Amino acid sequence: MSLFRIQLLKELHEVWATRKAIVFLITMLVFGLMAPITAKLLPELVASLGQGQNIIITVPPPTVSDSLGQFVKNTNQLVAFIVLLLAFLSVVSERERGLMTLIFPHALPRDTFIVAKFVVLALLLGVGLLVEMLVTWVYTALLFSPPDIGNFVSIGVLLYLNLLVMCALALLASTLAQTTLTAAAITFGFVVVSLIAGLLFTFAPSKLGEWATLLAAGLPSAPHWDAVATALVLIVGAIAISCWVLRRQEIISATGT
Amino acid sequence: MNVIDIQGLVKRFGNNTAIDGLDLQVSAGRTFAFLGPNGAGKTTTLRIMTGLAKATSGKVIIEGVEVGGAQYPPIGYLPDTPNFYNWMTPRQFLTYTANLHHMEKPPIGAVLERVGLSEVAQKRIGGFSRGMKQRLGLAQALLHKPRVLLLDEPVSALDPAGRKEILNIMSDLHGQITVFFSTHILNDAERICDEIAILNKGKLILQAERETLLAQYVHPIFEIDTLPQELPALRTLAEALKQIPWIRRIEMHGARLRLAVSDVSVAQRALLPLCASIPILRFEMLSATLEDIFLSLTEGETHESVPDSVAQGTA
Repeated sequence: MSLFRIQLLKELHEVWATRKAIVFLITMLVFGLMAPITAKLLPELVASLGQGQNIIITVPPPTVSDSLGQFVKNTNQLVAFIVLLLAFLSVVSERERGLMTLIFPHALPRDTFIVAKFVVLALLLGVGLLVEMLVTWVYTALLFSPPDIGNFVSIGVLLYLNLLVMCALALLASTLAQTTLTAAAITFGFVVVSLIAGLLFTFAPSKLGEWATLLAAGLPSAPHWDAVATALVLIVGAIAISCWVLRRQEIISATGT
Repeated sequence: MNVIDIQGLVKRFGNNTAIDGLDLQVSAGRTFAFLGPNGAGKTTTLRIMTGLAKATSGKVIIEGVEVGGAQYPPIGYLPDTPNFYNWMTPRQFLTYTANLHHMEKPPIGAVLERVGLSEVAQKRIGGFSRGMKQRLGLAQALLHKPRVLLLDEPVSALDPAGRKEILNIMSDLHGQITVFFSTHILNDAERICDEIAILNKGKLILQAERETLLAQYVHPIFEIDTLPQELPALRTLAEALKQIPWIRRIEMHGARLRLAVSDVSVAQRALLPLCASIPILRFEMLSATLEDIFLSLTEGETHESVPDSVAQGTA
């Protein structure tokens, strides 16, 4: 068995044994349900606010686009937050608890350690997003009409790519930092920079979210292939830098010695 | 044959030099104690030996493999405070580490038996005491049958029973593999090691066979016990004795005075009359322990230099 496979199995075992996987999947399932239900009930809720006050609030009837729009919003905000949380803790928590001092002398290459962590995060995120998409598609079909599968899959791919960028950057922050607090601060910095980049440049990865929003709304949109390329470069770059940084770092024990 | 060869090791943190030109060689099968006060550079040396830290200059070669190179030296390592994945069981953790060494039939049961953790092999490590974690740490260091075992303060945080168990295991390994351990508990070092190195402020101040070392420092210790109410008088006596040239070191522990002397025959005749000012409960001449030697060397209170034959080492 290769060292990468051993480490990958250990990481998979960890997300399962610590119940991270199950909690994440249930959360994604709930998010998947929330999007069509919110789209369906929100107009009725808003209209009901005017009742009894002789105010008539007219809300256009919800459509498939509203459900998909809500799905994109949930994924870009709530899911992204959870992904950042999972990724920024992944390396620094092992460092702080002194686990690295125990496993690295067992001839475990540091690159393998980083890549296995990223692959498992990407897998977890991928499965979670699939669950969310499946539930959203089914409930949208039940409450409205079945969304176009090709369009919906495109939205999912764009969101996944955007989330992978955040995951890779948070993993880099986790590798650079010596403490959880520092890792959180660096991750926050990366998020701010990426948001600002989204305002300034068309090739910024956050444009992928905008692209997905337009697709969800069924509006014509020019493809942002430059943003796709930037996202891929950032993912590979962040993981490569994480490996390089960890190879050069001195590993301290749990007592800080 | 030297299995551990440390050559001109220097480690600096900014302006602070943690290790200052350390040269050290350890032969195969020895149990080697690496002594030094806190901050002497013991843990830093061990971290460099395991590849967890990088030397500013110099190199460490273990079993012919240079640490930090493309190859990994055949070591087992126990850090000072081993921490584990709390969600794992000891069996799962040992299986994981055995897989990292590509072991087909790892002797997990036997190793767990050896460290006394067989009964909790399937329990989560999260609920383990410090002592149990230390024993599991030793198990993971031994499992892949390394030729060199590096232990950082393996017993310092354990209760007497836990210490005894770990020391017994280390003692059983004697002659089978090379054991290199750091400690500041001198009784433990004295009990199980063949060879000793003393590090102070990053510099090696002594490396010698344990027997040679104890033989070189035959200067005995005199202990004088008095009544507790005579403490002020004992302090006055201690101050007066500091002026005596053949008294090398004075320690006071409650109503007990402990004196290291350089001239035994003079002390045997002259010391008791000097203590006439206090009522004496006990007056005894004892052999010097490793602790006495260690204190002499690291506190710089000795009046004489380290004998050349000891300072140069015998390894």
